Parts: sequence; structure tokens; C-alpha cells
Amino acid sequence: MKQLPVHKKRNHLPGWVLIACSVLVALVILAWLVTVGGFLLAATIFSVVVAAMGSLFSAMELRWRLYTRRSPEAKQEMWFPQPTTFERCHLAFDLLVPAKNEARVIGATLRGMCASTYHGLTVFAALRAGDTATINAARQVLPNCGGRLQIVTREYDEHEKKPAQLNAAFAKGTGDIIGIGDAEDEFHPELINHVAAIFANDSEVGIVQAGVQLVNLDLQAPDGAGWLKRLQVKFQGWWCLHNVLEYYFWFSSRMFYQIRQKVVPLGGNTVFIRRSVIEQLGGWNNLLTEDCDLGIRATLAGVKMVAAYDPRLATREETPHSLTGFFKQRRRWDQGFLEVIRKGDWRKLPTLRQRWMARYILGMPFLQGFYGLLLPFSLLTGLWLNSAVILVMLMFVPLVLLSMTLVLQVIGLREFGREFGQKVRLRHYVFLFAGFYLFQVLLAAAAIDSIRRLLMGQDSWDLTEHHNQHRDTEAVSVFEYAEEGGAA
Amino acid sequence: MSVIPLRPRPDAAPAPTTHFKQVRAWVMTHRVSILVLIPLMAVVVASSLWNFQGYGALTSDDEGTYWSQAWSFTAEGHLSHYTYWYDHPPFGWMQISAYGWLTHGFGRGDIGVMVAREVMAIANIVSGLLLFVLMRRLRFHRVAASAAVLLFVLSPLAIQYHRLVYLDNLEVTWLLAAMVCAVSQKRTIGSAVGAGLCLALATLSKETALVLLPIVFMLIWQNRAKGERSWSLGMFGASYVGLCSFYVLYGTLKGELLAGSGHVSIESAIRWQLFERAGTGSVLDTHSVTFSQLEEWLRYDMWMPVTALLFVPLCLVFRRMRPFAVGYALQVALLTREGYTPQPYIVALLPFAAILVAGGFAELLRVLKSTDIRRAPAGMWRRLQATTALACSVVLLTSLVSFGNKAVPQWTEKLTIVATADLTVEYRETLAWVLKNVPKDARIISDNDFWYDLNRSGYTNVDWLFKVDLDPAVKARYPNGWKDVDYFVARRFAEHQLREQPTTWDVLQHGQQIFTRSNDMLDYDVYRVKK
Repeated sequence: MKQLPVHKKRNHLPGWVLIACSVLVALVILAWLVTVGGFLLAATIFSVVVAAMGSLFSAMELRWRLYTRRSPEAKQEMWFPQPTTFERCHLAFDLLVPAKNEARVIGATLRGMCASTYHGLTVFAALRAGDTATINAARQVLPNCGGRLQIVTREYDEHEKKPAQLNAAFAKGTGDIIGIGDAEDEFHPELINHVAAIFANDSEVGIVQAGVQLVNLDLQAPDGAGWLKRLQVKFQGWWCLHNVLEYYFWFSSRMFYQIRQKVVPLGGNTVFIRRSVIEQLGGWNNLLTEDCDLGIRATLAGVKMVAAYDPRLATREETPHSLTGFFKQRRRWDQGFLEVIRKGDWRKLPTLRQRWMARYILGMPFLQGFYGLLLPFSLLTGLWLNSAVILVMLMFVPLVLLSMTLVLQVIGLREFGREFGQKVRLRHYVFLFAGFYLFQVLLAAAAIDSIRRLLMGQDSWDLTEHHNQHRDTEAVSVFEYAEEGGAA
Repeated sequence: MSVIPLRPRPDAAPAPTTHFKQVRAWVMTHRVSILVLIPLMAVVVASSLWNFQGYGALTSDDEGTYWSQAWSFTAEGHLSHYTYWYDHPPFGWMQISAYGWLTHGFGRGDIGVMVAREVMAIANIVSGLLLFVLMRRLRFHRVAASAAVLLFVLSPLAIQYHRLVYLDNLEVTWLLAAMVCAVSQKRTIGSAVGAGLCLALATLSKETALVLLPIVFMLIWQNRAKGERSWSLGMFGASYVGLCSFYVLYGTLKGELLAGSGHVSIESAIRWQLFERAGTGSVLDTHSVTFSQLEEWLRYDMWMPVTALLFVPLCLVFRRMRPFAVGYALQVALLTREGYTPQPYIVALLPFAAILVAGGFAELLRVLKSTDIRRAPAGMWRRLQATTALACSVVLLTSLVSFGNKAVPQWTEKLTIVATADLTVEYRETLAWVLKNVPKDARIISDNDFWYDLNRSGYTNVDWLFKVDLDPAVKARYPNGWKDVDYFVARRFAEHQLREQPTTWDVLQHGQQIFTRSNDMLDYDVYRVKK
């Protein structure tokens, strides 16, 4: 079997050296300030710096969250064109679905994908040879798939992860456009028709990123659980809606902002790439976030990328099944981002602006994490200093901007509920407010832990388990849409 | 669709590349409006500056107060020349202060307050321009837009209050800016944020802008499609509250949010303004102060405020006029409550009145023009159309005739005074007399106009008369009450106002009037205390 070459990691200055250096410099400056100017001056400067940083981050956050909502024209730009058919555009699609230990969900996923209304589609389930449960689950649905499904199994060693499975399945297929789906994804049957239209309308387009949306606002209680257990599970799932809203703003706005800024970490699924582009880029690299890496490399190669979003066509996913699962998933992503940062391809981006944007976008989990932890200290220092009122008021600027973000979260939750037919209850709004800061702390903890793991050289793939929370039944679920969708 | 449609993008013309070309393209697109605006703005400027030194008697102590506070902000870094007690948010006189600082205003001219009046002139010129833009954005014809501006700047009532240093004038400018943002044709989130920030600045200039929050909300609601509303209104509200919260934060950080003994606070200031301040009564009570205030306003111009009020029900019918009708009606309705109605309350009603009269007129003309009775099918429908047309014509004719009958004579008389009278000469004479005859180290209590001008001329022991009894820190300087005062220099206040200030009252009782000047509007007195 032909194996695509896997990029070797380039050795730039390791990330930890940079971090250690900046911490050291910060400590020296702090010590100097304390000895020369006294503690008061040091505390003041600390607070002002944190406030300035915070204002910048919060303003950027507002900007990218509102990017596609900034004007009616901007909103129109995110829509898909009119759908097409295979018979008209002659673009064959290969849909790659890499999976590991996903016996519970893979069957329904593959059946759903094969139910696509687009005729030129082949689904490749990229499975690992030892993973018999998943392979059997996939085989079971073979008869229901009308010859559209192919199962690709291969031996992989421990260090070869999702990217290797993708490369293997890619080599098997012959389609013009390669799509990527995750094991639990619920694709809309007409999604491919819409995506094909984008490729057909513009032969320059190399990559299309369509929307993905987590849809469960709560964790699912086990069958037959009593009301107390149900209540408990609901409270345990306080973080779900924050996770859901992250996706909501990411795919309905931030992706478009990134494409405009020409720094695009792609999403892990519902991405569609021309075969020629993958061949030009040399396939997926063996990284934790191969998707993000591919986006950066595609930017460097000058590939034209397009994002499109319509809530009705968004791929539906579920949140991790527990807080621990969420934490591990986030840690894995953060670690993947760190790998991409360390790999340093982004340094070759042509403009200074792009390189700063890359620093910001890739480093955001870390910047935001640290900032989130520093904010209360800076505010307390400000209040405790209580010297110049104007200075203290300046320190509250990021807090005001942050509350504006919170307002966006509230509106986002309401819109999400309408667009995805989810009932948003009072408790969700309570969780939204009560959990806002807690969720930031959680993200910060994941970011810090990912740095620890990177420094200790752990890069195993903690897989997220999936439980079909986003599906109503085992069968290919019926898509229920709210009457007032975004593209109405 | 009811939302104002997006301006279609001109496909033929490619986007201009250089700044010069962009400017040129902009000028070419707006050439007619620019040509209309040149003479129109000349009228606006003339209405603000004609006989600037002469017209507008110094009737209100507020003028000197805001100017002295503006001076204090630049010179001392304080929000007031006495203890700031949250009577109004400080942004209004911060703007005056900035102008004073930029133009070397603290030391220019013989009357300090005149520099603050320059700021009012600028604010009103900007307001006039914004009003034109607002009307155009509401898709009114240039004639209607110009008419609204002319009513807004030429009504003698408007000129009287636009000239004086009132925070309300600054509020109106920011309010109009907020409305212009709210009806932006591009319907961006940025315009909603802009509306929120401008309205917040209006509120921070004068807190009464808070009452008009629902009006700007309505405008944004009307001018956004369904899917855009929640985002636009959310960001409007968030930016408004966000900016305004800094005022509350200031009070909190100073430990002056809640009332307590021994310090001023936002809470006690609000409570005073809303409940404790001696009310002026409802306008419905013909013996109330508010009613006589109303009579005073209508003495300058009867026609515009009354016509606007009569147009309110009519304008409620037309969608684009509805927010303004509601805004005017709301402010008129507030006059009927029992609380305190300040003298410049009318200022925030003026732009609404101008829009209602000019816009309502234009809407009626539009209805009249679009009715074609002959083409209408016979019967009920035709009769209805005929009745509508007749009603429109009657209203249009009546308002035109009443303008000729009522407004023209009253406006002519008042505008002649505006153009020719010198109502500040008495103040100048009094000031000159004091400078010549009163020693620099004399202990003087005065109103705020004189407070600033005397301080600037080297008098070292001048206090604002209201602080002598109300501010404990100032009162401590007068342990023997009226005996510690040598001179009283001020405009003549109403007796009930002075009776509330025991020290000042005693000074007047034990003092001897040694100089006085009067005109139709007010009197100036100088008293020396007999020891």
C-alpha cells in the first residue's frame, strides 16, 4: 500500500525555552520594580499591564464573535450557494471517517453518511486492524449502504494516530474532493450537494470548511434513572452549553474571520479538500491536531479556502460525555496547538500581520487561560491600591468588554436554541452566568496541563468517548429544524 | 418589507482606490445634499452666532456653575470648584472644559460664561447637521430635511435656549448622533454600538437622556430585519450600560455610591433629584411653577411646540415618524407629573418638535400626492380616499395658515430682539463697577457667573452664595454668619430661593444696596454689609 510521506518535526527553539525565558524576564522586572519603586508601583504596573492585555483580548473576542453578524452583507456572505448534483458537476466525493473504539456510534454514522442525496459519494471507514468491535459494527451496516461504503483496515503502531488513518483511506480512494467526518458525526443528507456547488462554481477553491455544531445542552441521564439522578446529571452538565456556544461562535463567525485574516486552523471534520491540494501538501502530518496544521500549511501554499455556514446543514455532534472527557479533549487540542506553534510553519507566513494573527489564534487558549486567571488578581490589586480613581477605572475596561461578551453568549444561546430546535430553559441561562468564569478557569487549567504534558513528552491520544447523546434513536435520526433557520 | 432596504451596491462603478478618489466619489454621490447644506448651514451658523455677545441675558446661575466646574476640571483637576455631589454626571462640563483648554478660554474675553456659550454654538451647529442627516436617513426629501433644520434653529424658543449654557444642549447633540447611528442604512452592528455609545455620552452629559432610551431602542428595532435585531439591540444595550457604568463605578470607588453620613453620594443625589427636591408641580395645575414655566416657553414660540403636539396622533400612523411622536408625547406627558421640572427641560423636546412638524407635513403631502381619486374603484374605497385627501388638505392648509397667523408675527418680533438687543451690558457694567470699587481682599458672596469672573480678576475671598449654607466645609469659614461677609454681588434671585439660604438672607437684611442694574429680564445687585 502506498504510504504518503509524513513530515518530520523541524527543530525550532523549543517552546519551553521561550516560556522559561519570558517568565524569567518578568520576574527580573518585577524584582526591579519592587526594590526600586516599591511594591505599590509594581502592583500598579502589574494591574495596568493585565488590564491593557485584557482589553485587547476582549476587544478581539468581540470582533471575531461578531464578524459575520457585523452587517447584513456579511451575513449573506456565509451562505451556501444553490445546491447542485453529481450529474451536473461531475465531482466525485470521498468521505473519510477515521475511527478508533467507536463501536457504539460508527454504525449509525456510516448509515447516515451513505444516505446522502449526492450520487457521486463513497464513504471510507478508516479503521485500525485490532479494533474488532468497531470493524464489526461497520460491517453490520454494509448491506444498508448500497455499495457506497468501503472499510479500510490496516495495522498501525501506537504512535500513528488519526492522521495515519486518514492518509491510508485517502490512498484508497479516487474521488476529486476528499471530505472528512468523525465517527459520531451526523451529516445532513444534502450537505454534499451544497459543498459540491462551491467547488463547481469556483475552480480556484481548494478547501471548504462547513459548519459543525454540538447540540446537547445537557448530559444524558442513563435510561431508567430516578428524578434525583436526572437532576444530578443536569447539574453535572453545566459546562455543556459553554462548549456548545464555543462551537456556535467558532463555525458561524470565527472561521470566516480567520479566512479573512488568512490564518486558518481548520476544524477536524466537515472539511472538504481537493485531491490535488492534499497531494500538493503531502497528506496529513502525524500530529494531535492535524486539522489545524493542514490549515496553516494550506495557507502557506496559497490554497484558496472558503467557509460556509447554514445552521440547517451544520454537522451535528455531541459534547464529551463527562467533564473529565471534556478536559482531556481540550488538553489534547491545546497540546496539538502547541505542537503546531512549535513546528513553526506559521513563521513563514508572508506578512507581519498574518504572523501576529497566527500567534494570537494559535496561542489563544494559553493567552486567554493565563489572562482569565490573572484578571481577578488585577482587579483586586486595583481596588486595594485605591489610589488614583481614574487608574482603577481603566482597569475595569476589560471587565466591561467581558460583560459584552457575556451578552453575546446570552443572545447566542437563544439563537442557537431557535436554529437547532433545542429548548433553552431557565437553568441553562443560570449555568451560562454562573459558569462563565468557572468555564474560563477550566480552559485555563486544560491549557496549563497541556503545557505540562508537552514538557514531559506525553503525546498519547486520549480519545473522546461518544454515547450518541445527540441522536434521538439508533436509526439515522430525522433532522428536525426550527422553522426560522438562519438562511431563511 | 418594512425595514429600510439596503442601499444597492453600484455594480458599475468599481471601488475607488486612493483616498483622493474615495473623497471625490463621496462628494459626487452627495453633491446635491452638499449644495443644499451650504446655505442651510449658513443659516444654522447665523442663528448660533448672530449678535452672540448681546443676545441671551445671563438669567440662569447654571451657566456660571457649569463654566466654573469646567474651569475647575482643567485648573484644579476636580469635577467641581466645590465638593462634587453628583448633581449631574460630569461629562457635560468636561466637554466645555476641553474646549476651554484647547482655545485658551480660561482668561479670554470679559465674561467667562461667553466661552462656554461658544461650546453651545458648536453643539447646535453640529445638531443642525445631524438633524439633516437623520431626516435624510429616514428617507425624507431634502426639502423636508431642511425644513426640520430651519425650525430647529430659527424658532425663537430654540434660539433662546440654544444660546444659554445648558447641559441639555450637549445632550441633544449626542442624542441626535445616537439616532443617526440607529437608522444607519448599512445596519451594521458597529452602528448599533455607536448608537449605544452616543446615547451613553448623552446620558453622561445630562441624565435626562435616560428617558429617551426607549426611543433609540425603537429606531434600532424598526431599522433591523428580524434576524439582526437581537444582535444589534444586545450590543446597543451592552455598550450603553457598559459606558454608563463607569459613572456608577466612579462613585463606588470613591465610596460614594450609597448614602451615608458625612459624605455626598449618588444615591442621595438621585433621591434628591427625584423625590426630595421641591417639586414645581404638574403642568395641568395652572397655579404651578411648571405651568408658568410653560407660559414662559410659549412666549418665545407658541406655534412649533403646539403644532408638534397636535401632529403627534397623526404621526403615530406613519411608521418612520412613530418613534419621534412617542418621544415627544413621552416628554410632554412627563410634564404632568408632580416632581421638579427644570427650566431647560424644553431643550430636549425641540428636535422632536422640529421632526414632527416637518416630517408630518411631508408625510401628509406624500399621502395627498399618491391619492388618485379618479382611478380608485367607485364606492366605499373611493369615498374613503376622498375623505383622506380632504383631511390631509385641511390639516396642511390649517398648519400653513396658522404659521402665517401665529408664528410669523411672534417670530419676527423675537428674532428682531435676537438680532439687535444687548442683554449682557448690565452684567458688564456691574462687573466693571465691582472691579473698580470693591477691594480685592473683600469677603464676597456671589452667584457663579461673578464667582468665576471675580476670581479671575484677583479676588481671593469669593464664595458661591449657595455653598455658604449648604456645604459644611464652606460654612466653617463663616463662623459669625453674615458678619463675616463684606459684599454681596449677584443677579436677583427669587425671594423663596434666598430665604432657604439663611446666611445670604441675613446679608441682604443687614446690607445696603450700593449698586444695581436692570433690564427686562433680570437685575444685578451689589450690597455692602453694615458692620
